Amino acid sequence: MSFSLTIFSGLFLTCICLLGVLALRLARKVRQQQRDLGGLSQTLERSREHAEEQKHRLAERSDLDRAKDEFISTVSHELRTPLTSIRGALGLLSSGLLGDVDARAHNLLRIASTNTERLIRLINDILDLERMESGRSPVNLRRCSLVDLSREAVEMMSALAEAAQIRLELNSYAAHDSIYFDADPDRILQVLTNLLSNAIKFSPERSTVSLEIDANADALSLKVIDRGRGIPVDKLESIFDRFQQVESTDSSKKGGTGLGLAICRSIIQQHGGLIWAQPNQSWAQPNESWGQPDHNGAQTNPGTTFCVQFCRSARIGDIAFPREIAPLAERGEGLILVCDDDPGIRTVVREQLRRHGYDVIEAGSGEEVIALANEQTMRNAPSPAISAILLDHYLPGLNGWETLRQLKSSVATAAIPVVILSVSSPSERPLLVGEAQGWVQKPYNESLLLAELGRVLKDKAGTVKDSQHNLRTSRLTV
Amino acid sequence: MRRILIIDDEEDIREVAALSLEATAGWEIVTASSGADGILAAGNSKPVPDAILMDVMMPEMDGPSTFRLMQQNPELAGIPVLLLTAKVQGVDQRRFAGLGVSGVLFKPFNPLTLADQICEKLGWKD
Repeated sequence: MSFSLTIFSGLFLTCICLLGVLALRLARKVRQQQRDLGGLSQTLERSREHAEEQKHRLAERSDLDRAKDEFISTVSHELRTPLTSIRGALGLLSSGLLGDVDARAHNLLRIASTNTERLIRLINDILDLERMESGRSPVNLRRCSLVDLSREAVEMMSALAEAAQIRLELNSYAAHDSIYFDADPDRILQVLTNLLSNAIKFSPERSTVSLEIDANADALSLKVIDRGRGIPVDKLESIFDRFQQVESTDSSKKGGTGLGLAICRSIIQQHGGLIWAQPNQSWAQPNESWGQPDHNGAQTNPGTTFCVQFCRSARIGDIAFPREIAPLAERGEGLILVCDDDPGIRTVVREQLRRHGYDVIEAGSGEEVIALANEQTMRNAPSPAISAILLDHYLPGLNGWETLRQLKSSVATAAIPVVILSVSSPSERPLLVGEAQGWVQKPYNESLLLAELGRVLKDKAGTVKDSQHNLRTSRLTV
Repeated sequence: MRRILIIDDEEDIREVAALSLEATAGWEIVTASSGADGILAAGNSKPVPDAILMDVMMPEMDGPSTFRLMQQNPELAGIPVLLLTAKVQGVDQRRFAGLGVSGVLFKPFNPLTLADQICEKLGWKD
């Protein structure tokens, strides 16, 4: 009896001990979970604060944009009113309708008139650009023929060409049934006449300016080729920026406003296309001899080609209402974070990637990239993690290099492959090359961008460590 | 000879436009510096003007309001009105088109072709 009592009490004590240990473990686990929960709620709180801050910043930015638009619009209107009187008075005086003026006075009137006209063009261009970039300029899509539009543009420019002793030619390599596309004819005509008038202005007398068009089932392209003094390679991209000229005196000499190419790029981007400048093809030998400095030390090349490319599948509707696009490829290729401070470029890249099955989120600055990348990695399934980041190198605020460094130094985001999208070549930025997994040089072409992205994603899936050594560059090939 | 009424609050623009139309087309010009004055001038003018060239942005009563008032007056309702505006925003243009005016001309106008533009908008063959 006492023996069984001893066994029983022994068992009882063992049970108590076991229970005690269990209780202790349980308590520790509960404490651990409480700590985890605390941490989690802190994280949640932080990301909520962050989201609030983002929202606030966005609202601030759109308020600022609206104020800026209104300001520009009002200024343009207020400038036009006095200009109306000035233009009218000068025009009447220099016409001789009110009596003759002597030659010297006439010359002064001519100077005043020419510069008034220039000021008017400038105001019109500023307003044009402002309307397009604020999205307040509707694009009226119609079925158009690229050949007809080109012919019309050549016709419109023929007087200017004749005055400058330039021969204008139009060559179409497109099959008859492939020249139709959906576009805003007035806008495309604006681009064509702008490019042609630029080419004429910067061409030597008795040379030829050619407009070449080509089209197939997927895309349409047009090229404006001049035999002018050419554009230095380091300026080929920046000429599309506002008020950027190859030489600072160009604008005054040639009567341009410095906004023509920025307007062209805006229009082409609204159509989901691409526009870029390149040295003439026949001169772009493999040894790149055109890019060498001449005896004056300036980089020259004989003539420039302005290229425009439209993808048939990139409809304006898609861009205006991105949420309503029917996916052209199966989704699920991966989530790509696209960062560029130029909303136009983001739009084009987004459309191109979406068409190939990628999901895209966008960021306009390095700060946004860091925030979005952290946010996405903190979140768990079902939201997908970012597969790769396409990063512009020139960014206001936190630049591309700094952004990359921060991404790579944080445990949460270090594993995300980064592809640099930059106007400079990787050889100019060796520091970035070491950190980034891929590089696409702007102006890029779609298939190279996709190839580079595909390669980087494949590398990520395979051996990650090799990817550092596997960096290849994608340069524009023409 | 055609008679044109110019309504604009800017004296300089009235003068330049008047001079331009007199010198290039030889028309007779009457001017007014506000919408209200314009309605009076149009009513007092004998014969009534062949057309009215009117600024859009004017203090007190703007161009579109003046136009609507004129349409309520049977004597003036038949006179073709052209708006002259420094606003070139698409949204404004659509608003003007909906008013029922005979056309919209833009500032800054070319003083040598202003008369031609008016003729074109109104289908005048002179």
